[in-house]
Amino acid sequence: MNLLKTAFYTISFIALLMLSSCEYQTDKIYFKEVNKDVSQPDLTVNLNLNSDTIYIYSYSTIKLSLQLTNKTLYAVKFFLDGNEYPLANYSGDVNTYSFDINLTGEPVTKVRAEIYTSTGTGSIADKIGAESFIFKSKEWVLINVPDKPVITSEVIDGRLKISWTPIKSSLKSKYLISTSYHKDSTYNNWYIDSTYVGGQNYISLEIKDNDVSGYHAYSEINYPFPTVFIDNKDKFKVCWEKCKFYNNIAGYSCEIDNEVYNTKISDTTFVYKNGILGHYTYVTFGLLLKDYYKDNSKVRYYFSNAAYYPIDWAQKRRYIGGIFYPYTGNTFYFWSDDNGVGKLYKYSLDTKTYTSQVTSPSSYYSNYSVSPNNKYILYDNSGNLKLMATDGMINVKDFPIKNISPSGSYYGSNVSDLATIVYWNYVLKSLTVYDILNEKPICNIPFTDDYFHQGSISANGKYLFEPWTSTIYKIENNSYTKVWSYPNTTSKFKFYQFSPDMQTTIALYDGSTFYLKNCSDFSTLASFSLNNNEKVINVDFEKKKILTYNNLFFYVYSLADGKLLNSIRTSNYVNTRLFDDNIFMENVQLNLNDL
Amino acid sequence: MNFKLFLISGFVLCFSSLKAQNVQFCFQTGYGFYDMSSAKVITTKSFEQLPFDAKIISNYPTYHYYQPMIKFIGKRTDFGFVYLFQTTGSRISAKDYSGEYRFDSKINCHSPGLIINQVINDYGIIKMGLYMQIGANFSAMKLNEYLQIDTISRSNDYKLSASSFYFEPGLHLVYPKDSWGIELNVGYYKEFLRTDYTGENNSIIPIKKSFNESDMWDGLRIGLTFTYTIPERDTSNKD
Repeated sequence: MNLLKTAFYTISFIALLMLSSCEYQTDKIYFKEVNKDVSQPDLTVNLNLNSDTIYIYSYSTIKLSLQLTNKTLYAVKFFLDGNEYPLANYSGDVNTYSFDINLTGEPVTKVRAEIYTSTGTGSIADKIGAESFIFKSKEWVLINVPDKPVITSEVIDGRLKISWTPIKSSLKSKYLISTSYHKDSTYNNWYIDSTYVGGQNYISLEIKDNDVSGYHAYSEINYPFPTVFIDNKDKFKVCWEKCKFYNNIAGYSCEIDNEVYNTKISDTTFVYKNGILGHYTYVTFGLLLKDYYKDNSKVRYYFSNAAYYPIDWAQKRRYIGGIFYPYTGNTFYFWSDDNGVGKLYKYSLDTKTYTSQVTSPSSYYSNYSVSPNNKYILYDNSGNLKLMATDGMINVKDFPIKNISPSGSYYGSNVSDLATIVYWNYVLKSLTVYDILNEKPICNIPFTDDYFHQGSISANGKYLFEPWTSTIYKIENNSYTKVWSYPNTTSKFKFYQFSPDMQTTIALYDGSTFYLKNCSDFSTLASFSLNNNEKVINVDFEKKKILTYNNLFFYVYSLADGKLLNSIRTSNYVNTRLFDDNIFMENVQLNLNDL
Repeated sequence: MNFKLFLISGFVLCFSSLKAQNVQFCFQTGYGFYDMSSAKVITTKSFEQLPFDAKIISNYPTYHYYQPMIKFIGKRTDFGFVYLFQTTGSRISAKDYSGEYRFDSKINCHSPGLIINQVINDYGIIKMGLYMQIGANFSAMKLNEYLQIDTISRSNDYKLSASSFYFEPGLHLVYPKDSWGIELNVGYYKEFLRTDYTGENNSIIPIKKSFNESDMWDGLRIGLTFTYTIPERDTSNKD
């Protein structure tokens, strides 16, 4: 039995040893013969570093592009002072590699590149990228330039000259210039801009070196355009300064009412004569360009404004309550509000100035009247009638209206040169001719009908015209006589006006025929037809002219024979007067002699 | 491996105390034609992904197995305990002047079990019988990937294990000679109820899904068994 056990243990032990040593095992390997004699990489490398030493002005981009035909590219590495620099950009399709570099604080830096390609042996190391050809570039020196380039400008001989700090480089550098209007290039560090004519101009400057130097300069210049203004004191005139850049322009251009007027380069004014009277006329002004590039525009417009055509005699005084004209002379009056205080102004056509003469709370509609030969001014001032002598603008009379009209209402005529008036007397139902200087009535002309009658008195106070009955009365020796009356028709004449002279004639217009009559016997001195529907504005007896209006046109006729003298386009006919060969329409004036 | 040795030792110790009567010690060895389909996929896929030229040296080929047994001999029926050890593996290899690459795999299986034989015919001294073997499998797979470029090398190791059961029906011819004998065995090994091949930290081999239950150790096994039967002691003299 002991033998049996010994045998059993021995066999078991041998079996265990055998089992543990009989694992699967193979020593075979696959050894491959590889040809290490392979071709060199067909590698072409381009770097944007164009000289051994490069001055870096700011943020710079170093670019490497390569062509590799027979190997696989593994890696491109840049080294700055021996330290690998991370690539900022990689464009795989064109094999262009770049990195941005900022040398701030580093005076000198050395840079080089390494390119790794496959060997093409087919070995294990080659296939997993652990075996490669290495192309090592030479080393470039980059020098930091802390002073940034500066652009300056000046005007020379009517052109803009731009200058800048030249680049530090061993190579001749080409500067690319970009302005707001065009692009150009030069090898100089200055440039004559033959396109700039003024205004804001953004100038950008760079070197065509693939951004390696980082040389960039930028400046914004702004030479003001020539000052322009509209002068309509005497004429409608556009005025301007001479352009500093006169050699870069071909002239000046005014666009007025959609019409373009080009002027010569030597001109500094343009007088516009084709406007519409009273029209607020817009003017656009610009410079005619010699060369035009970027915006493809021949004119550089920069000014736009508007003014009344043709003459604004009031000059910026926009609120004019009323204008009061005599029949003769060249002085008239107007009422205007001056900071809440109503004032009567006297305006002289000779000096083209106005002066404040009277401070008055009365507004313009308070029955202002100027005597035909400019001797008196009569007006209603808060229930008082005031008479002012125009010579020195002195009040000569001031009394309550109730003295002549118990109701306190005054419906009076113009004042004559003798300071007489005619007004409707409610109590007597008559037209009363009144002597203001002596404060006494001269005579009363009674009426039996119930109509309200008015009258116009002649310059010498001898005649008055009642328009309802179309009657001329002669006032003499404190009584009246009827000179002439138009029978059976009321308001025959749409227009009537006494002459200011002592002969006393009256102009009448019945809607088709204009008459000039002698007041003493109503004989016709002149008569002629006017176009239908014309509205007679007034007669200038001194200049012997008639002003009419029809359909946005003023017409000026000869008082002698009715010949049409002028046709003038207008925007309206409100508060218009032909006075001393001028048409006044509120603040606007047109001198007939300028036509 | 310690656990398996402990198990085997346990069997041995248990039966070492039995009364030595009709006890037969056997050692069988031969070739196992292992299926290993899924394991071969690992080799193939790995090979296809290599960027360089390499070669599959071996891919889980037919290989030796070893199987010691203790059987209790009856007139026509025997039964006993077996311990089966199977092993195979693979290699992908590449080597040139620049370096070397190897991807080795080795898989072992330790399988304790039971066996029963039944003689179905006699041809003189030679007996022909059927046998059925059943037991448990403890498989261990080792993967090693090795790369050397110039003087720099790197090696990665992975270990996976799985367990299962098996049975193996077969036919054998026995030629006894005194206490010694030799047998020819032909059987078909079938594995079942296998677990996943899991690695350290319970990681599962990535191609686990292709490891179905019948594609690893399954296959034909042909071997020779050497036997030694302990002669029966004559107890009549004691009486």
